[in-house]
Amino acid sequence: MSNILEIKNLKKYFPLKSGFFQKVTAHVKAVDDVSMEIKKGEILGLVGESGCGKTTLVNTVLNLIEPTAGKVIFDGKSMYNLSKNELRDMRKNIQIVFQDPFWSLNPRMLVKDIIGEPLNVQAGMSSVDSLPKVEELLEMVGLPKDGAFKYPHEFSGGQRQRIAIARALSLMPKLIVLDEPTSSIDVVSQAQILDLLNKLKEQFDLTYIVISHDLSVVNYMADKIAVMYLGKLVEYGDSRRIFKNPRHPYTQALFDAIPDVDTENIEDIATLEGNVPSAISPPKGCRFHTRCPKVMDICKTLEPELLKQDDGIKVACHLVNKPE
Amino acid sequence: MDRPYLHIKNLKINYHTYQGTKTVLNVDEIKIKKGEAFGIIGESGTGKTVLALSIMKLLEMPPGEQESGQILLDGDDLLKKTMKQMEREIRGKKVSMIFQDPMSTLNPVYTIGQQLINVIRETKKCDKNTAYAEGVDMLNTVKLPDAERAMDKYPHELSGGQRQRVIIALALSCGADLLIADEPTRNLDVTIQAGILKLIKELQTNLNVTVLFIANNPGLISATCNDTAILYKGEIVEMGTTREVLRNPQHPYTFTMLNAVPKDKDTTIDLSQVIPPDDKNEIEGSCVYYNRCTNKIVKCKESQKLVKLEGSHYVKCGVCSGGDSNE
Repeated sequence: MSNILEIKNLKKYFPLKSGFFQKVTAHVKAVDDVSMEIKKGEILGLVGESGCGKTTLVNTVLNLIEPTAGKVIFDGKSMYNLSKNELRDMRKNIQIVFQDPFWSLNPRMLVKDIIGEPLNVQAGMSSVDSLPKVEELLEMVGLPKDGAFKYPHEFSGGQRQRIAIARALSLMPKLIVLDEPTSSIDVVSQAQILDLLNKLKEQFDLTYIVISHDLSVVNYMADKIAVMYLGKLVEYGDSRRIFKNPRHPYTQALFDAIPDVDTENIEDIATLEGNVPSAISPPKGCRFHTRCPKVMDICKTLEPELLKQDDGIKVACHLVNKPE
Repeated sequence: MDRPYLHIKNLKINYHTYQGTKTVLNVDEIKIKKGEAFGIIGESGTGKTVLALSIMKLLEMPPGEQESGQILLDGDDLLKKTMKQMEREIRGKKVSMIFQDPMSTLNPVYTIGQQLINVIRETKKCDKNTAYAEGVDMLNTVKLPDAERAMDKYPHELSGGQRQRVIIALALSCGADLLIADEPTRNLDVTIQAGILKLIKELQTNLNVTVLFIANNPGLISATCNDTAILYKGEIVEMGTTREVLRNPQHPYTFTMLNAVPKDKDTTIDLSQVIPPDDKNEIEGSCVYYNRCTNKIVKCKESQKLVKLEGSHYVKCGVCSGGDSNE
């Protein structure tokens, strides 16, 4: 199958300015040399602590912010250096569902206008024309038709997330980015939303990028996962293999930190000491060495490369890659 | 010495709305022993927070109204106390609460130190230096790195997990021995969440603090709490030791909830049993779960009582408590 999205050596550095002349003194390396590809119909899970650059990566990929270097190829075409009209056309194919359905829906707009707005803007329909389509979309995501004439506050958290999904679906995109789609709703609604997303994916042949810090969600959804730490990929590949056998100590720590129903002893839950170091001056050598439980001398000086292992998983760790 | 530290009896809270009176909380009995952790699980809108707020007497009345019930803290009925008494004797000194969102609980215009010192001086009536020393002590107790420097920082300079630690320090700074944690790890990363869970557990065992832990995810409860209650639409549908409830669930709602936790890619979540909630066609006086239940029987049209199964395992269900499914 062909790649729908290719990211090649993408970098995004935010300049830090200081002083009277706003001299650039340092850079925040939010995304540092990330490469990956997503095939059509795949689900990519993007995992990492907050502040590791997940959202910046996605925003850069969608051309919402400009990259410092690197290439993004969507459906055979580059995402950058597009004219305004070309970019608008491109955006039809990529939609995003935001984290918090309490903030991402305008409280003063009727649901029909929220879902219909992309249709008005992109397909040039009037709001009267778009109403049947809106009702169809509402039914598709499992909401009653008469919801079109309600305001977002009349719905529960799970239902609001469904509205956000309906809006993302309205232009029949090829790729949907789900930014923590279920982080603010309870487990039963979460299961229903995940089920709906899986069904829609089959029905419309969609490709998803799922950003989440809840690994159980990623484990359930994703075909491929990418673990990020301080702007870099540390482990990347097939999700079943990684979940069965996480090799990077950071991935292991993330997995061990999930408390599940069978956990009886609190000591079984692993904790990472300390906080994520600042991205302005990331630690020398391996960026994870300040918190790594298995740190070696070489980690403090030499930055490990992201190397492919025998089973196709890419890992950036000296423990796994065994340098000479 | 068998008297429970917190004892909630027949608590019923109504809300008056334009659509009529609605019962949001109808709890038969909750007993928490001193130094234990009690977990409450339920989806959003089941009344978890209402329960927490009514213990603190922070629930706005009206629109809320307490119809009946008692909340006994060490034998003292909190609901009979006046606001002044609550302020002077209970809040902070005996009961403290951690709220959901660590980002918005702290005052952004005061430093951590100022906020801690204020709270400590207000209750202990000591001078600034003693309060400062106690504040630093408290921050060390909650394992905030570099406590002295953190005293001079503003909340925005701390990360989410650090802020939650400061809030726990604030809550415990006046010697409260009942800590109500209302989804304390919501919006936090898994790694940070693990740290906060461990901290709460540690405080519970080391300082003998009683904890009421409210969560919407059963995974958070399993490792932290001794006893657990499942709340659905304001009523306890199942209660017992955490192991009894999570390992041997009886109520159909508990089943659904435990099944809804995603496991991995090869185990699909069976959602055939999940019926969406339907508030409109509610039958007056029926079991709270009647509309969504898949194995309901005739008996379920009547309201159900909490029935003891074995040990300390209670369940509120017509089928589980010995009804015949052929009725």
